Amino acid sequence: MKQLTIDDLENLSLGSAILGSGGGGDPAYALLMVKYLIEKYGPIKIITVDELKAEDLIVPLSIMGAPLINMERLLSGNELDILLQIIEEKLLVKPTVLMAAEMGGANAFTPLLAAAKSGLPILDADMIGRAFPELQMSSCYLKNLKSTPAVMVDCLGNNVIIEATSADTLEKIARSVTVAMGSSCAVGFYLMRGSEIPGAVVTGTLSQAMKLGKSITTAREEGIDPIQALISASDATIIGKGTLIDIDQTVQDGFLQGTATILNEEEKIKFFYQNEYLLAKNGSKILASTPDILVLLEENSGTPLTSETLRYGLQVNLLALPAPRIWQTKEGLELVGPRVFGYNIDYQPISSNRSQEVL
Amino acid sequence: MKKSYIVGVDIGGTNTDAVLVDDQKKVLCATKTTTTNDISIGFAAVLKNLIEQSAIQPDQIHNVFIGTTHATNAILQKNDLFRVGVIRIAGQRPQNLPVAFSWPMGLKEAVIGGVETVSGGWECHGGPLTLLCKNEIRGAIERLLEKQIESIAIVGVFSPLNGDQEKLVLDLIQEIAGKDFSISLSHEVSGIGFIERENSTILNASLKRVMQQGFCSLQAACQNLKLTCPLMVTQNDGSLIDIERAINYPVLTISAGPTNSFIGGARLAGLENAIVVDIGGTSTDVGLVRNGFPIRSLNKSNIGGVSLNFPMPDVLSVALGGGSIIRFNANEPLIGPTSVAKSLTSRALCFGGNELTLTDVALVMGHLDIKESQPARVRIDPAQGSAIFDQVKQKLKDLIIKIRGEYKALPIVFVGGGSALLPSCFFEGEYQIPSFFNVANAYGAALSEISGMVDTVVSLQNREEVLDKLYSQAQQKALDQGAKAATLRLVDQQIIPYSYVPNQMVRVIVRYCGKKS
Repeated sequence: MKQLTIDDLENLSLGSAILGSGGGGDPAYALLMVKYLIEKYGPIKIITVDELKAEDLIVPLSIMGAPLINMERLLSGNELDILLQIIEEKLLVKPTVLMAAEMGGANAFTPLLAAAKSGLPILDADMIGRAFPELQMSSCYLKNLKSTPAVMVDCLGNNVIIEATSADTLEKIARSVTVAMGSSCAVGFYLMRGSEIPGAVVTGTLSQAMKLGKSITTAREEGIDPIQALISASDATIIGKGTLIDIDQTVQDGFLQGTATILNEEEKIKFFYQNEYLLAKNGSKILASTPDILVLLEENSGTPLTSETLRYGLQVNLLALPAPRIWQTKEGLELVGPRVFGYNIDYQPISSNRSQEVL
Repeated sequence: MKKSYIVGVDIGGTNTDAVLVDDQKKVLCATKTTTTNDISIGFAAVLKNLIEQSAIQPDQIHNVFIGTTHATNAILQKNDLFRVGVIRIAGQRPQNLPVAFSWPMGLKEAVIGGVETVSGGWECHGGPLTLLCKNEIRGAIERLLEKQIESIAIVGVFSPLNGDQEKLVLDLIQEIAGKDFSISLSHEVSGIGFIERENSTILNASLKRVMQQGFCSLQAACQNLKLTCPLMVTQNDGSLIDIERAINYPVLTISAGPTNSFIGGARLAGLENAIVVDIGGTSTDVGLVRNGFPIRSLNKSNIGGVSLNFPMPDVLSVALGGGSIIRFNANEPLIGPTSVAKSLTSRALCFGGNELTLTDVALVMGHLDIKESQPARVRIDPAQGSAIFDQVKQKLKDLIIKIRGEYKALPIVFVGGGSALLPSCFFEGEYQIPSFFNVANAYGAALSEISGMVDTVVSLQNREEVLDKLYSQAQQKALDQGAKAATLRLVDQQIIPYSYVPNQMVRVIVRYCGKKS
């Protein structure tokens, strides 16, 4: 069993923003909250899937809704306590292990808020291996696990238990509930037993996020290029660099949709995002696409940029990390491939481009 | 009719600079002195100097515009700060992010006198989060007053959308503690982002006494010099507020420096669009001015370890300045990052010291001439000198290329004391070192205009109607501050969509600017 301490938080914040691929929200406030809780209650236990017992009840947690809401209407800090209590008292099962539903942005910190206070361990895994916008975009969906009962709680303690016929229906209902809850709430879903875990989650993603973040913080301390350090420490490939121009965004059907261009001398790389960065092109040539993880970093500091913070004139590097293997399968691509997001192209894995280069 | 003039003053940590400009914004004269502990002494000295140099009558000065780091210094030195009681209007009662949580301990201890959370706040769509309870608020106020706090900061959830709840709490405080009790309302101080707005409001509350003294001493200095015109202060975005507002909202004046220097630099060169390179003693800042205003930064501003959400100009910096120390690795010169900074005239070789600085190299290369200097003490051959300035050029060029992006044709303006070290014909392309380059800050202050800003969350379903309403609000704010209606123009507009929220909710920031009437 490992421990997560205050020293890990900055690394996790950078790493989860990298895996967040522009989505998941800015972890700044969540980081401060977890820091406060660790100072108060002590370090958080991390366990791997190998340490799970068959009868363990694992609860994936996330904050659903607009990340910007939580920058004004701060979390009360009771949402997740109430959520776990409802599982125990109304659903009559006792949570023993917590997990991030998505290892992206602020949501990588969500289960830590509950773990620090309850003393329950965190599983070094999640259901995506990055951030995606909808609840059914989950490894558990591919494994045909049951997404409900799901529990939703808002900052005032209002709560709902949902039974849905499918994860797609859960997404629809949960979305409406979230709006009624002031556009942000805590959600626990895809509750599962330790025996169901093999093949149902993306493993090691909490450690991966911290490792990615650490490459950047270490490089900063040593005064070396953080982006090069990140590339050395991971499978990341650099797709383009330059100045951010032509940012164009709107909200459609609840999602932030936009395009932006990276200009380098005469070369223009255009990328498309819907909360997350989903596709990068140079003219008609596709450079990378979902489910591979597109990462936009501020050039000097190596700070990952969320799609909400894009600004004209920023100096950026665009990188891609290969998607978790489950998303590269036929079934995976049907759930999170480019066509799901309305891009009429076939997925070309960034990893194969890279291995071809090596050959 | 007699001609009228404007004085621009920059009261920095080291120097107090001033310029006298006419109504066409032409610089007539400039002066510089060391900033004094009592800022009004240096201030009076530069004013007196300008009046003597120009031989104008004090009543011909119709405006004095000041940019100052006095508030920042007060926070850094924890000098005479009020002890502040904080009232959070937050019905969800956030427990995991206490007030001033990430502040430096010393500042927190000096400033935070007590914290109360009361029911209330708004949702993003405008409805109440929970309702206010007057009795609960009265209780909170009385508990804070028992703790001997000297000033109260009120911060409500989504208060930039609606200031009514904060105003109601203010009424209750005045009822209990009297009309003159010092109170700061967060929606008057800054925009969306609870923690940064809370930080700004608390700092504002704590700065009120020291800044009132500071600003009143400047007013007194003006009166002694028979200057009867109003004093105006530049705020963080480079625009002006009157002295009464500056006294009530001192935190708004906390970081005007870079903005003033970029605006001043561009305009000294007669340009509305330019890249401004400000070369100081230790570092060089590069900014991009578009339509007369610097482009804004992505980063949160940070003063004394406290994060705030004021708009800051986008600045690229490199540790390169007149005092940069030069060392050699084999034959390869290395410039900086260390600098002799303020002690240039004692530590640099040409002034009898032991350090080879960029100023020494410039003297030997004949780029400039300084009386009382001894270039003969500097042993460096011309080839090495050229190599060093090639490096300077490369470093500056890297920053310029980065900041300009696609604006490749933008002219470059060098300002700041260190610009004097540059050789002639330094850059290919269009560049200049304008007259009065070393007082660009003060000139920027002299050029300042009045602005009105709105930062709120709205539904854009009736887009034009809603935006028009926000435009009029921002215009009205500018007019209330004394802007001339005919000169008002929209200088900044940002629309930041809220994802997953229905009815096209967006955060909108609009800012109008106009000349002072």
